[in-house]
Amino acid sequence: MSRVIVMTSGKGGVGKTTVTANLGTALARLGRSVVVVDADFGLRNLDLLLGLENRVVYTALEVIAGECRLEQALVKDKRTPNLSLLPAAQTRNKTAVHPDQMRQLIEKLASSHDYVLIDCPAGIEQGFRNAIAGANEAIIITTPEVAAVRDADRVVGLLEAAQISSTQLIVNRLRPDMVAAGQMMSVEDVVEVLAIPLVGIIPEDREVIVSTNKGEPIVLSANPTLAAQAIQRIARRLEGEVVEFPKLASLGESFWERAKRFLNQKVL
Amino acid sequence: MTGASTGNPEISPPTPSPDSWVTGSVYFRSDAQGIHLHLPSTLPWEELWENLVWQLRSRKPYWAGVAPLTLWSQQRELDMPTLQLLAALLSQHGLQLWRVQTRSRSTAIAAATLGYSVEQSSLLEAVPPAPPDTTPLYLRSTVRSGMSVRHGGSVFLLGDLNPGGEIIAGGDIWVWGRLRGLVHAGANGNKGAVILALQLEPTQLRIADQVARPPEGGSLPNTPEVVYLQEDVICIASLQDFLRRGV
Repeated sequence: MSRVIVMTSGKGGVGKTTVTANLGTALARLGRSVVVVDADFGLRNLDLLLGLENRVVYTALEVIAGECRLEQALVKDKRTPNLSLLPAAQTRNKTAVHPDQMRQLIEKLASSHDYVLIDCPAGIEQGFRNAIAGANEAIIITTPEVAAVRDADRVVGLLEAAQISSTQLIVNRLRPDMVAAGQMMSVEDVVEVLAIPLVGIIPEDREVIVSTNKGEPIVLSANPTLAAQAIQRIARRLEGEVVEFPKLASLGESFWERAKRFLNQKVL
Repeated sequence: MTGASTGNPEISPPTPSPDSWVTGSVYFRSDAQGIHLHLPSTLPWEELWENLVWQLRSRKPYWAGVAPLTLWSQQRELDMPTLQLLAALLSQHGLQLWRVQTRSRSTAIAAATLGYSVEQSSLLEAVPPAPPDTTPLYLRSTVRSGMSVRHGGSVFLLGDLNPGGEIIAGGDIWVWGRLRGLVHAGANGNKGAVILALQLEPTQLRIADQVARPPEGGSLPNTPEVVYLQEDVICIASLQDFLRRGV
């Protein structure tokens, strides 16, 4: 039975697409067949983060219109053999697709993959409804900020109404030093409001910006950063493994750890 | 948060019109014939559906056994697949659709084809508005951001009211959980209505025609608190103090 998970947040800019690209890659590296679906019609980004932009020929829209077969639109990631991408159309907008069409498309993908991860657009309008149409699980991504949590709460309510059975939480871009200083909402604060199970905590990471620009997921790095390790742990938790959450302090890199990783990179 | 809160005498909150309890949102009431479900005529279907699912879920623990349900769909046009979907959702929550009361011809035909008892009234005929339900409403759920609970009687919530969510009630509002959103008790003008919460951290408090926001800063007492109106000033007291003073 394959799992269809929509990655959503309500608010934009919290890291949905980055987490989707990396989580998809991490799951594929655990030996699962994974397809990541860009449901952000008109503002597609997932292909960029995976470094697959120049290999996109057909998009989900052509599949829906019957202009190509589904297999033709899927872009295989050469670095990660089990991973493929179904790109969104860049030229059309979110009203070009209907939830029923999306549901059929996702059903087809689910029949041939272990995981279907759907990268949902920001907002709660038509694009959101399309993205959740075929999903049976959801992962809410939020940053520890009041506005992001507020929007996430709204989305949790909408997912409950859409009768999506399981909704889990990822707290992204956490800065342990700021939490310790009382300047940032803690993970506990976020969980207290949203009241859904936590599946991962990802610390803020400068490497993400570098990797995003290069189109190379951080989980592919030979020396994975703390954020990359956090995403690998999420992948294992999705696989059913019980992986403990590390202590808050150890999510922040000490100077020596950073220096060690830097040196390792130079040597390798 | 015990102590008086900051009132704002210049602004009085909107008073819901007598029938807005019924027309604004999905609305349940019960009488000797069973349960009646009123669908608002203007709300988009998706929003209506969300509201309905939430209400069914949060009320389910308080409905016993299978109850017969009459659907009041007004002039809304419901086709057969939609009616079937609705009936399936209702039966999931222990409600048996048996009668459809409609002003739309196509809805009447669809309902009759599916074998429901149908009562059709023409659009010209004046239908008396459904009486507002002033019986207490019990809910077991989290009221999340963007959700609005409106009820003509008192509302008892077992769960949290999150910031961005609201409860507007004709009577009292009791939150057995954290109250962090907006509440309006005695919204019909009942100055005797009170708000009670196990943990009171509201965005805004309203009783009858008065509005208050919580005092800024200060630590939160970890005890139940009561909000009440005294000479047109919204006051907050710990439950203990409130009871000592005499209800």
